[in-house]
Amino acid sequence: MSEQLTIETHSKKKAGKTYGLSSWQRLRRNHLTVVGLGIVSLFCLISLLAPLLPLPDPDATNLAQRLLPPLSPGHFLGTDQLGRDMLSRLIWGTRVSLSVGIIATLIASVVGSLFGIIAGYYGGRLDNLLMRSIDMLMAFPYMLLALAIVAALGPGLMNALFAIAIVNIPFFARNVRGVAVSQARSDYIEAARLNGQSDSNILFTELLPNVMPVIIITISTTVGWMILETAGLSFLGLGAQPPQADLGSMLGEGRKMIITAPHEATLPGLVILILVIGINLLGDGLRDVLDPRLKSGTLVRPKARTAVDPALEAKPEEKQITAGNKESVLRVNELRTYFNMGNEIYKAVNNVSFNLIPGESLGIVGESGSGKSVTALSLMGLVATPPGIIKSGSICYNGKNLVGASLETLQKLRGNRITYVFQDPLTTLNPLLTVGDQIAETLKRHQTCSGRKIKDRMIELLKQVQIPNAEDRAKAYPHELSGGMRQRVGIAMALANDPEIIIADEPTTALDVTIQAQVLGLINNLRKERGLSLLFITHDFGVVSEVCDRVMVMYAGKVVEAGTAQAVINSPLHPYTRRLIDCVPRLGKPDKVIHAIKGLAPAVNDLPEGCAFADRCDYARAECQQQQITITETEPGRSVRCIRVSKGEI
Amino acid sequence: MNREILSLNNVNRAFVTRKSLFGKTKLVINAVNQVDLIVNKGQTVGIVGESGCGKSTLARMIVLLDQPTEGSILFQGKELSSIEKKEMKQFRSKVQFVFQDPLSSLNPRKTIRQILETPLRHLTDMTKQERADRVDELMTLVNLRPEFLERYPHQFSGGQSQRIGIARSIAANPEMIVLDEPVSALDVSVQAQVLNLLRELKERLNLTYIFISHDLAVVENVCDVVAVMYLGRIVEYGPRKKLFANPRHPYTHILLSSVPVPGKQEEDRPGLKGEPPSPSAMPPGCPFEPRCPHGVDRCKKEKPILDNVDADPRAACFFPL
Amino acid sequence: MVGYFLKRLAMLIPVLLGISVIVFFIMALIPGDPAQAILGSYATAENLANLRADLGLDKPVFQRYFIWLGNLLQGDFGSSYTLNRPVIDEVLDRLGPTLLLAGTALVLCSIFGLLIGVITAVKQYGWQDRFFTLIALLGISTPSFWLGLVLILAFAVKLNWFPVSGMFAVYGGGDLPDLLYHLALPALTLAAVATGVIARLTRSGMLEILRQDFVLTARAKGLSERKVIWHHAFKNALVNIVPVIGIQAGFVIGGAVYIETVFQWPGIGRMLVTAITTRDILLVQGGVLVVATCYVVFNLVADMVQHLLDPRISI
Repeated sequence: MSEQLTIETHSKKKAGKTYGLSSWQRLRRNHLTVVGLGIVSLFCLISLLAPLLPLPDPDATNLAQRLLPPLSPGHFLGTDQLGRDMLSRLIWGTRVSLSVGIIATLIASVVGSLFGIIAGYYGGRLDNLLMRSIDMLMAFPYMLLALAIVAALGPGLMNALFAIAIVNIPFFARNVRGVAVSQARSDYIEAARLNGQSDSNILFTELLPNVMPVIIITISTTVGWMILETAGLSFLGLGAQPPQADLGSMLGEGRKMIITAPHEATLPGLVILILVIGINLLGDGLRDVLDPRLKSGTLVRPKARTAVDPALEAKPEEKQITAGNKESVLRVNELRTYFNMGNEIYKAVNNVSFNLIPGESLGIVGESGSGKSVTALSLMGLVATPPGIIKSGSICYNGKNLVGASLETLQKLRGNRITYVFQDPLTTLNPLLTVGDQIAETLKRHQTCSGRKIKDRMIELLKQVQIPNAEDRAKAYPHELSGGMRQRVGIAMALANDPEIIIADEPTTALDVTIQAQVLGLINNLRKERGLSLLFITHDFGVVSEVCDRVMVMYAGKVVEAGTAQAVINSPLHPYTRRLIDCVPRLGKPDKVIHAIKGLAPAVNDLPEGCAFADRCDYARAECQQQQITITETEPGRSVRCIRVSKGEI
Repeated sequence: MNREILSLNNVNRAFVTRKSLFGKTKLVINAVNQVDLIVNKGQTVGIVGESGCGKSTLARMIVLLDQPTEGSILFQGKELSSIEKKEMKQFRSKVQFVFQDPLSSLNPRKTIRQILETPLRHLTDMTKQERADRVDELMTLVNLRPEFLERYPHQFSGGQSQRIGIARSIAANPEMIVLDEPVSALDVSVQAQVLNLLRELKERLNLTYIFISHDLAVVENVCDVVAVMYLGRIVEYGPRKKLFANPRHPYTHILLSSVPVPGKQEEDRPGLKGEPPSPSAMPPGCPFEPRCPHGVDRCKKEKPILDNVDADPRAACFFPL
Repeated sequence: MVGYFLKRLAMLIPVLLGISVIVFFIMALIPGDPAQAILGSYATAENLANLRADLGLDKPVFQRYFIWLGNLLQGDFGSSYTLNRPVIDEVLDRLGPTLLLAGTALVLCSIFGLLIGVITAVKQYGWQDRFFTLIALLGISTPSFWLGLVLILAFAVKLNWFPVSGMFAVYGGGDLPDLLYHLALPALTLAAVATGVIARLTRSGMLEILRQDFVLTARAKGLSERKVIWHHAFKNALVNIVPVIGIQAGFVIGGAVYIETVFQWPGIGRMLVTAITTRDILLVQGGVLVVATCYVVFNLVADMVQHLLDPRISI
């Protein structure tokens, strides 16, 4: 299933452009970020230019003109209780607040990051020592420590700056350490050691560039706070001392006049608010650009049902379609599932049709990016949307078309009539619920019986998948079980409501070979006992031989060959199938020369005009590249998508 | 020709995880246990086993990314733990490593040129021009186009990234390369490309390989000598052909019969009962005894060791098949 | 569970010791001679020496620390020279109002923050998302002392809905409705920032969790969206948010300093500000120690909750 999103994003032509936009472009694309950038630049510019602007002296008092309201002649924003010009004071105050915030941020980021990166890289005792002392600082409520430091050093702007910088050090240290620890254990750092690089060289040339985004992100989130907090200290009279004024101390002075002259306190606060909003907007934008998880657009909520092309959304009366073949429990026709990512369309599943016969086991074989998992997930509308969308086709189950069916219809089938077993049972089970609860949950959803009965049935299921001490194990959490046991739980969950169809997506790929043998045996037995239909996705022809009656081979979103497992494996007709079988070393044939398939599969966002395999095929000729190749039935139940077959050459 | 390049003598690696806050109950995991192994120059030695058998820990110790808690590893007769700082450069240039996950082994913020130049800068005395030439040469050696040099790792597919990883490992002309599951993360069609490349490079550059893998078919295809590991120990060791044709340890036998082979539907394979015991609570006798179909009383009490050198393959079993 | 609790409790001791060390040494940083400060500039050399001996200032710094710590453990925090009463009495008198204010704010920000976070995540890119995201952004960007003033101006001065300041009405107050009436504005102001922080983290946490494989499994089982979101996703997101709430408690307690000043709330924060300006160092020290201790204990509770939620966590 992880395959679902690892759409091959490379191709010869497009390599290097796959992320589409440069960081700068991505930053600009977000309007709010542009607003933030605008605000911050404006504030910086005004602060820098303050001495050059034609402003009255911010400290020149004129008691005759005290407390003038805004828009008074000569004083655009009015005057304060000493008759000083508010506009001028605000600009000079901003200059002070901004520079104090920036300097404090720089101090905190340099010191904190250094702590974090050293602790993270060296680990062990040093890490312990550094981080425990950082934890001590964190044990204080944030402002309280700052207050204590100011109390000791005495009120004053510089002291406030130091206090705020010190209390922010832990944030940098912890964030940076978190990333540094995981990066320091990663392979490329080990590779650097193998290159003979010294520790300091690794720290600064390998680790630091990779930790930099976190430092920038942390700066962008803390600089706003720091400005707020230094303003706060000044507001309390502990920061800037008269006649020096920053925005906070202006607010503090204005507070006394809040009723008679509200502008004196509200204006500096408003300026702080706008400045900090600007900083936060810019920070959010920066984070979106720098956070690798956001880069691939993963932080979009997947919907409960895959989107369907509006033309296919079923109107209630059209749901019923005539079942083409009584012999099939599931019939898929011309299914197309695309991923729309930016301006690219990835045709992950591109016109796939098949028929699942009651009681049979059908294998789908392919490499990553071939569309096999997306095909499986499309059946129950489980492809993540965005970016997935079902573009065309029908999925016929029980006389109903599931493409465009309502979420409620699908939810009644999911986990009940058609169930899934996924690849990695550690990530596919909820870590916070016991495995028993997770099985019971699917029973409760689809059965109406007492809690007692559900529990009995749950234990019985665990026994059926041969989990020893079922009663005890039901109370275990997923992390307490081995990989093999977890996958048995996954199978028990799929079996819970006596389904008609089980879709197993690489269920044994993450398991060791001896455990794989056990699980495959279990799946085989259960299927035969219950007469289930099985759709089995794998990349391993050996596994196909073990469990599948029929098989279809997928390449670049299309089925290239289908037939009985035996026939396809023993006498493959499509050149890709043949090469795929041939390029894998086979146990017991040590001297077999393995023939690699040259080149790479085409990216599904950049498919060639004709046969997608033509580039890598030994038999390719000009016409292969010119037209779509249709799939041809060579004999009942056997079909191949190859020009040599459709022309009757083989 | 049969010159010994690497030898492991009674190598152990124990990990101690302190369980309680006060350090009372110590949990000791013997990841690698009493391993003896000799590698001759020019051989490809396969180390095969399931997850948690200690094969990767062993690999890391051989390239000095980790150190044994007991026993010694000798490379060209030199004890690894006695290598001093100034000799390290020489060792690193002779013994290299290829990682399982090709992408994560490349620094995402460096270009391919920078990645390939780093070992040259630190391990050789080449001039700038020599390094640039060598980098071009490396790209040709691993069949990648030189214009890729200015790109970043994320712009490459898994197979291409692994080629870059291999290019980096051969940059400073090593004599031996430890390959830790070099093709496991790759798609099958790409696996074949990388395996063939490795084979070709070995011939061309006269390399010795230590090939770590869980994939028995791949090991059978590329290795000359094979060691099978189970729970930190080598349970069987011998020339590839004999070991695969006539395994003597029951574990090897079951392991081999568990592999699904295309075109073969195994109806009644022997199969392995249960799951391996927790490495922190090993049985006192033979570690395989709890799952062994032939276990007897003696297996519960005594630990079998690899039997004498004459047997071929050698098995750590009282009653070899 | 009990074992975990005891272990966690045992780990409090080094943390509290650490806090005492930091506070002690910050106070030791104070320039000048405390004896001189107390006796004023006309003191004779002999008097100064005597007082130093009394205060133990002639002893080495480590010894002084342990004497100081010993006194603390006996409840002797010294005496406030401005108030002429034992520090501990004054601090405990004022602890109640602060805890009430901060506690109310914390409850409010947790409820609103989590709710807004989940709504914005579930309705991603909908109008609810846009609206509440803006609110959360305003929340984290607003200087709370300014917000307090604006709210006083609007709701107390102009609309007269709430009192301008204080904890109880001067005449006839003192009952619960009166308290709540006075508590509303300061608590809301104090909660604003933390609500923003929690809402934003909840949103991104939920979005991340909703992407994970086990959510797909839950959907593949046919579970209703309500169940998927609350039972599966939210529970997992909460594991990461509870410690954040713990940290926010620190911000809320710290923020109380401003709010108490703005609303004339008789809590520790206001006491600290006055004590700092009058250089009543012992009072500052006592206040900081007691509040930090409360915070540490609160974080212990947050840890326990996280432990209850997540079976994977152990020490």
